[in-house]
Amino acid sequence: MKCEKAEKHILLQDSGELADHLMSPLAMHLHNCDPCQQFQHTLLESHNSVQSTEEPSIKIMQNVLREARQNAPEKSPAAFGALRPLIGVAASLLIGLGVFFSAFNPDQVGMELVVTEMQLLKSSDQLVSIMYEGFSEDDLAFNFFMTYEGS
Amino acid sequence: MDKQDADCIHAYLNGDANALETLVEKYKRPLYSFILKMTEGREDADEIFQETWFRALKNVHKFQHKNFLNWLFRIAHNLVIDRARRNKKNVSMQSSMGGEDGTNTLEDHLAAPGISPAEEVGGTSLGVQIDAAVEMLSPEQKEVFLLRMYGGVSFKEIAKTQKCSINTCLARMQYALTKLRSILKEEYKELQEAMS
Repeated sequence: MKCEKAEKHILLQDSGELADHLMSPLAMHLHNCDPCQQFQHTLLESHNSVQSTEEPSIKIMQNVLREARQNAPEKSPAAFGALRPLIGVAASLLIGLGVFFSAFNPDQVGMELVVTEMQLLKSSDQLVSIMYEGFSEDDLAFNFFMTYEGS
Repeated sequence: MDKQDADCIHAYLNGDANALETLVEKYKRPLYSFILKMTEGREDADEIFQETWFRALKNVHKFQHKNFLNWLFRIAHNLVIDRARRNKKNVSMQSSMGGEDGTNTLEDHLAAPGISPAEEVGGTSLGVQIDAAVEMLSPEQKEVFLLRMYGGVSFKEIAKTQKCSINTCLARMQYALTKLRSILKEEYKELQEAMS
């Protein structure tokens, strides 16, 4: 391995980007090459010497933190946003269940139609309808017959 | 992505207004040190640090990067370049006007010949010598070196930031270390002698 290549491999090893199969050729080269050992030493020493100790001013930190608080997304819309797909699924499920049960319970659908029909009637007619509510068709026919029989 | 970073970002996006405070504190030193070395003083560095965070806050909902600090470095990199371009424009304009109004001219922006930044501050320690050597590097070489040293940014990420190949980044880092090697040569010799 040439030194120029070895130096690149040293850098990649340091950043954790060197492929596994290149580790041992690099180690062998380093064992016998003083300039490359020196290069590696420089790299390690730079890591030790260059420390990030500088900090921004307190005012700037306060500005950043204030901006962060002001820009924070609101809680409820975010939560609603996260639940939106679930709400869609739940709505579809409810519609599906409604269709399923209505198919097996046609009487209830009939009753709903009667109720809707009743809402369209005038209030006086609604009263009559309520009066006769609960009677079977035979009862009503008998009642009708008796009414006219008497007169 | 780092789990703590991911948790903080998630909490912030879900309405916890103080959740990013941890990240601002955690990354203030590497980010600020990088910006300070890439700019021309504390005032510039403060402004760019603030603007970096403002932009990050504005776009945090779009954040899909693997590493939050790398993302901050990338934003800072773009802002540093914008600032340098603007300053260059101002300097060249003033230079063409002769700089007679006492403001910066091109000459003011050039380092004094023969005096290194280390000598200017009278420092001789290894850290100061390295700082001085880094100041002599080209902006691209300096940036690769600082991103590796302050942020531990991978060469793959640096290549993306600098829009060049990984090989170019490696060559820039090699050049930077070759410069530093001469500074650290004596120290290396002493170390070798001590080991033998």
